[in-house]
Amino acid sequence: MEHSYSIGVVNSSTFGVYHSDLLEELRRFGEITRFTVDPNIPGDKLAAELRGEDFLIASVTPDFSEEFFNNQKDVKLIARHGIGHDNVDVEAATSVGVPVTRVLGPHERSGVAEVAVGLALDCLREFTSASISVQEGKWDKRKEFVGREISRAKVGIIGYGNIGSRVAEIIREGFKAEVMAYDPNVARAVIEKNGIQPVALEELLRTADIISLNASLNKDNHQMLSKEEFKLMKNNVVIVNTARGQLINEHDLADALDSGDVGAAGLDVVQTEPIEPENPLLDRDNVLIVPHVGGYSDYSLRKMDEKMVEDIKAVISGEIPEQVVNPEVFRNEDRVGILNESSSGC
Amino acid sequence: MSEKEMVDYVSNRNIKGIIVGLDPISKEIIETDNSLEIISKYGTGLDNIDIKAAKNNGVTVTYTPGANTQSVADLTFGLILGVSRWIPTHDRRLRKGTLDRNQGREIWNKTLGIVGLGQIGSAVAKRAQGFNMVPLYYDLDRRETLETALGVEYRDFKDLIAESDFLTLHCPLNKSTRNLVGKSELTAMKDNSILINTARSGLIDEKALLEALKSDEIAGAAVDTFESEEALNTELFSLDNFVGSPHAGASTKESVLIMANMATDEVLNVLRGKQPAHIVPELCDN
Repeated sequence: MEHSYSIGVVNSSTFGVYHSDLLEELRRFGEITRFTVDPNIPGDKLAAELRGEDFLIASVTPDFSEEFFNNQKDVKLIARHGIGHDNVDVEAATSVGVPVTRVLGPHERSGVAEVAVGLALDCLREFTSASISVQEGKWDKRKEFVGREISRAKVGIIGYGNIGSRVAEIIREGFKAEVMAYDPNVARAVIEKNGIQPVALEELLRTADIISLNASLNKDNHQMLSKEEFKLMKNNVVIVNTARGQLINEHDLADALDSGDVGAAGLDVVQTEPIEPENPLLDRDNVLIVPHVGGYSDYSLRKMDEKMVEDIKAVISGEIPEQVVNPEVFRNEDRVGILNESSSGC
Repeated sequence: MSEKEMVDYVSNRNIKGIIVGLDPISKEIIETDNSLEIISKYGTGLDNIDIKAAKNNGVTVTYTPGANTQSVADLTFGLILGVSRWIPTHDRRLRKGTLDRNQGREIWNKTLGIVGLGQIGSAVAKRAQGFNMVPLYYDLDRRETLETALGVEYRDFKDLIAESDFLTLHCPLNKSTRNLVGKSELTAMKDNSILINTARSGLIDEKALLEALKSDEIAGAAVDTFESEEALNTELFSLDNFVGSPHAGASTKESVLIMANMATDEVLNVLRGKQPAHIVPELCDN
């Protein structure tokens, strides 16, 4: 008979919700428990909550700190139901031999890129605002919704990685618009090969009609779009952000929208999520905000859920899962011992 | 403008040319005085103009084909993404302080059914390539050259609606296309499919659409044109899985400029005794 494990799903409102067949598959390996904990719960309390759990499927909260790993000795895997893993102290996990995994980039690639293009089209054509005004009985307001064609716009992509390259591809291939990209970490030739023009950031900011943020957050690009950058941009520029809210100074963006330096913004991410009622970008005519739905789609969620099940199965059968953030744990020979120990309570 | 207002406006003014958008140009208006020489349609849909009456009275009718092609195709994809990712719904909810999320549908790899592979249908097919969708089409005639050029496959109408994840209408409104998508077609569509209409309103049976959306017979719809713009079906607009834009397909700076130039040129052509560039097909037939 197969060994029965305890599997904890922590603060994830989505895992298994749309794909119950995967939950069934996972139940063959043990009992699944859903935990909802305070996003700011201290490590020792979290360890107590999750005592006895062998595998953890983790959301963007809470933090899995050193204190957590020092107090919860049963855990054999932290599988992040997403890509970012800044809420897991990977060093601490490594020191106790716990692998941390995440989902694969391609799983979210089109999902996020399509939301970026959707937001750009909506900013250009205002169909969300227009549909609200129709719903309010103001059909005649239609005269005010004169948009712009995307094919005649110059589109600038900041961050030509997994998602940025797909946004560029859709706009270039689908709409035949002129696309340029800025990415200090990608060789010019890679960008040029796809018919995209590699440019310096300043040129992009000065010449783009639409700017799409697709950079991952690092210590250098925090609030990379602030007052000075908005000043450089064309009047009426459209800004789309499906990456991270911290890339934009939201107060400066609000000012730039007020002054007309920026025409419209479409945001899937904001500085503080969930969005706070006092966010200066909320409830404006020229700002669209959606609640971080880039990866919240049929294909992405299915693939993410599948990845959780695959990771747990891999660890149980002594194999190395894909996308391990700390692969060095598998080079430690003692690790085999962890898997062979009987889990708590046995 | 209503028909009555239009008659009042046109009467006794010795008008030689009319540039018209969506307002009605009926037989009565055409026959109001004998001075009218040209009706220049600012747009492509001709269902608001009594072309037969124009013909009988020797009035030329021109239109502006192609001017709005890119704009309508762009809006079509905007609406496809808007409905499939719930953009208007999520935005509206957030403004009210609700954070609930609905699972969206990605469009790559999905089947796009295009009804009518004319200029706009073809522009939609081109965009579908960029998204890596699987485009199929139905039209009265096979268009083999376009099939190769655009990578689209032909299906008969029945198969098209059964296979499509997204069904988008780009055909004119006439006797044979009125209520093209009604109750039985909506039933035949996939449960998780989405219907888009940026063409004419009469192509869809609005009541049947409302019922289909309420009973989840299809997953969502986006519509740019309505049976009655004065008396909109408000229940339709209250649904989460519906987006209704105010006939905004051609509303872009680019398209407006091209249409305005074309429509004005046609009036000048006729008044100067030159051949107009785009006489409506119904008048070319014989």
